[in-house]
Amino acid sequence: MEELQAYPDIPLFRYEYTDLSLEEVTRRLNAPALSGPQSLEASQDLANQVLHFRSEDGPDLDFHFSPEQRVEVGGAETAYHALALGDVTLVSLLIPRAASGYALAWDRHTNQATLFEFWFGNGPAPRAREINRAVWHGHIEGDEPPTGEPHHPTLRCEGRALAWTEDTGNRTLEYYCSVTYTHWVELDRLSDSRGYSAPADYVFLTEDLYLFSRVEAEFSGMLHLYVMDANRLESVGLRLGFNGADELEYYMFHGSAEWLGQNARFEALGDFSATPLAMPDGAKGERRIYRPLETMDKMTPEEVAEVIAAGNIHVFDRDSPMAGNGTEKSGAMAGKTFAVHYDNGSRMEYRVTGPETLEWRMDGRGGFTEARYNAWEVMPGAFIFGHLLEGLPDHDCHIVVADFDAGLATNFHGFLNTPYFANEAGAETLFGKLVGDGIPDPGTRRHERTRDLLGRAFTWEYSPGLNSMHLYSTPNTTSWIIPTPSGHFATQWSGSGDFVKIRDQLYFARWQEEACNGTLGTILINMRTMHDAGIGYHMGAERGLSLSNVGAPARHAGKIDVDRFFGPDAWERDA
Amino acid sequence: MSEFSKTDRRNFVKLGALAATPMVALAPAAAMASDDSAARLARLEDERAIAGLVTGFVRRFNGDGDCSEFVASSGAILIDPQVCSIAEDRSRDPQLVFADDGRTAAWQSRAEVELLTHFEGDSTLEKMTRFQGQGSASSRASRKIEAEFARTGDGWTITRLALA
Repeated sequence: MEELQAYPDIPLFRYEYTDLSLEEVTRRLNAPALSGPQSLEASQDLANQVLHFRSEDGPDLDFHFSPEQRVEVGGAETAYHALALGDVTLVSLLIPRAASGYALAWDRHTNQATLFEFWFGNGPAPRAREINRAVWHGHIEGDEPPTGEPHHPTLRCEGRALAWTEDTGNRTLEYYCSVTYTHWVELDRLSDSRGYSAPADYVFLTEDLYLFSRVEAEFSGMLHLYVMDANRLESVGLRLGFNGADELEYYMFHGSAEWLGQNARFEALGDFSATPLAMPDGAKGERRIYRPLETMDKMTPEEVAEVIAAGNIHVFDRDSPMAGNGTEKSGAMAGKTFAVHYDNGSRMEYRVTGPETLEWRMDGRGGFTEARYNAWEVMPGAFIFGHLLEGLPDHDCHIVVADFDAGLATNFHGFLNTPYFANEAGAETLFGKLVGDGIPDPGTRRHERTRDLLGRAFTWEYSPGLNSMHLYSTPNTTSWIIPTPSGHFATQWSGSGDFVKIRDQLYFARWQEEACNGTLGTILINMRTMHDAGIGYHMGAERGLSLSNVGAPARHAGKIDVDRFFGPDAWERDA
Repeated sequence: MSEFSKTDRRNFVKLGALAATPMVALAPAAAMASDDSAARLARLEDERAIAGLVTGFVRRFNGDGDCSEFVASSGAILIDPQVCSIAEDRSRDPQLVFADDGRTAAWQSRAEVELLTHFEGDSTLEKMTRFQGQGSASSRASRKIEAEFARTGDGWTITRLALA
C-alpha cells in the first residue's frame, strides 16, 4: 500500500481505501460529534426551539435546541450546525459514541421536513467506513398543520448539470443524469479530470429547492449532501465521512453554481414517479448500489493463459446481445491489401483475404498470420474492423477505424495482463495513416482527439430490454447509465474513455470497464444516421477471450456545456 | 408421451423423436371422390382440417405447450426458444398448396409472436440490467408461419413447422 492520500493521485477505483473497523470509526467520530460540524458560515441560532419531527412510516424525533449550538435528540446531547437557504434550514449533528447522526431539512414556511438518518457499520453498506442513510419524509409538528406539498423523491433533476463552487473553494461538476445515481467530477481535490458515479437521493422540497445526497460508495464511502436552490443556484450542505487518508471530514458549506444545461430524460410525458428501483422489503437504508468489483472475474496472468491455451477463444462467433439492433457487417474490405503506419513507428500489414478473414504481419517480422475479423462500413469509405493478434503474450487486439477516402487510421489497441487484473482490458490509442494502392497519402494529417462529444449523452438500444445511455462527462471519462422499462435512468458506472474525430459527425469512442468486468468497448458513432457499430474485447473465466460486435441506434440526449472546465491535456491520465 | 407433456414451450422442440399421432379425422378423402363436386368438397374439408390443425397447434403452444398430438415428431418444429406466444394474423389469408397426389401440403401465414429474452450473459450491460431486477424482456415481432403437412391413415399431421 502506498502512502495514504486524502484525495488520491490515482483513479479512485485503483486506490485501496482502509477497511476501518466500526470501533475505529466510532472513536474517530466522538470528539467531532461533541463540537459539531465545522463551517465557514456561522450557524443559524435555534436556541430554545423544539422541533417535533413526525413521519408517516419512519421515526418520530424531537430536537431540543439550547444555547451555544447544543441540541438534545433521542436522549443524547450533542452539537449542531444549521445553515439556511431561503425558507429551508439544514441542521446537521452526530450522536456521540453512536457512529450515527442526522441531517434535517426543515421548511420553516410550510413546516414540511425531510430527515436523513445516518449510521456507520452494521449494514447494509459492506464496510464500516461507507455511510448508510435512510430518508424519512414528514413534517414539524406545531400549532398549525403543515402546508404545501409534502417532500418526496423526484425525477425533476434528472439530466441537469451544475458546476458548484463551495465556500471551501472546492469546485465540482455534478451531472444529475439518473434518478438513483449521480456522476461527479472533482476539479480541485482530484487532479486527473475523471468523473465517478455514486448512488444518490433526489428530494423535491419546493419548485425551487431540492435536497440531494450522494454516497461515494465503492470509494471513500463519504456522504455529500446539500439543499440546492435551482433558481438562485445556491446551496447549503454537509460533507461527512472519511477521506482517503482516513481523516474525518465533517463540515457544512455554502455553495454557488453555474447552470450547465440539461440532457433529455426519457420517462413517458406526465410520468413523475421517482422510485424506479424501490426495495419495499429491503432493510432500513437498503438500496441498489452497484458494486462491480464484487462480480468481476479476477484472474492471474497464468489463469488467463490457461483459458486461452484451452482454446476458449471466441471471435465474432456468438450472438451478441450488444448488437441485437446492430447493422449488417461489411465484406467490402475483402481483397484489399494495405498497411497501417502508426506514428509510434509500428507497421501493420494487411492482406484481407475474405469478408471475415485477413492476414496480418507486424513490423515486417516473420510471415503473415491469419485471423478472423468483422468489419462495418459506418460511413461510406470508413470502416471499423477488429481482430486478435494471436501469439502475442498479452493476447492483444487491434480495433481499427480505417478511412480509405482520407488515408487515415486510428487503432484502439487492447491488451490483457494489466498490473491490476490480468483479465482486465487495457487500451492505448494509436494514430496512423493507411498505405496502399489507390489510398491517398494524408501527409502529416491525422485523426485527432476531439471534444465534440464532451458533455454529450446518447442512448443506445442494443436489444429488446437491453438499453443504456452514454455520458461523455470529461475528456477521459465514459459513463454508462442503465434505464428501467419505464424510461427512468438508474444505475450508473464509468471508466476511462477516449474520443477521436474521424470525420464530421463520425467519432471513434471507447470505454474501459476498469475494476468492473474488464471489457474494452469501442464504437464508431455516426451522428448522421444516429447509429453506431463497434467491437467489445473481453476476457472471462468461463466465456474466455472474445471479440464481439456492438451496435445500436442512438438518440441524442443533449450536450452539457463543460468544455471550459478542462485544460488542453485533460485527456491524459494514468489508468 | 408423459415426459413430453411435462415440458414447456421453451424446450419441447429440443426433444427427440415422437411417435406420430392422428390429427384430424378425414371425411371422404380426395382420392375417393367420384366426381368433381365430391373432390371439391373433399379439398375444402382438407383445407379446413389443415387450418384447424394450425389453429390447434397455436392454441396448444400458447397453452400448456404440449403440441405432441399435432406433429409427426418433435424434430419437425423449428421455433426460436425465445418465442413464448403466437398470435395468428387473421387479416391476411394463409396460402395453402397441395401436392399433386394430395398426400402432402404446404402452408404459409403471418403471425405476431411474443419473444421473451433472458439476460444470462456476462456483459456489463446484462449484469447491470439483471442488477436492476430486469432479468428478461419481452418484445413483439412479425413472423411467417411455414408449415408442411402429410396425410396419414388417420388424417393430417404437421411434418414441419417453422417461424421465419
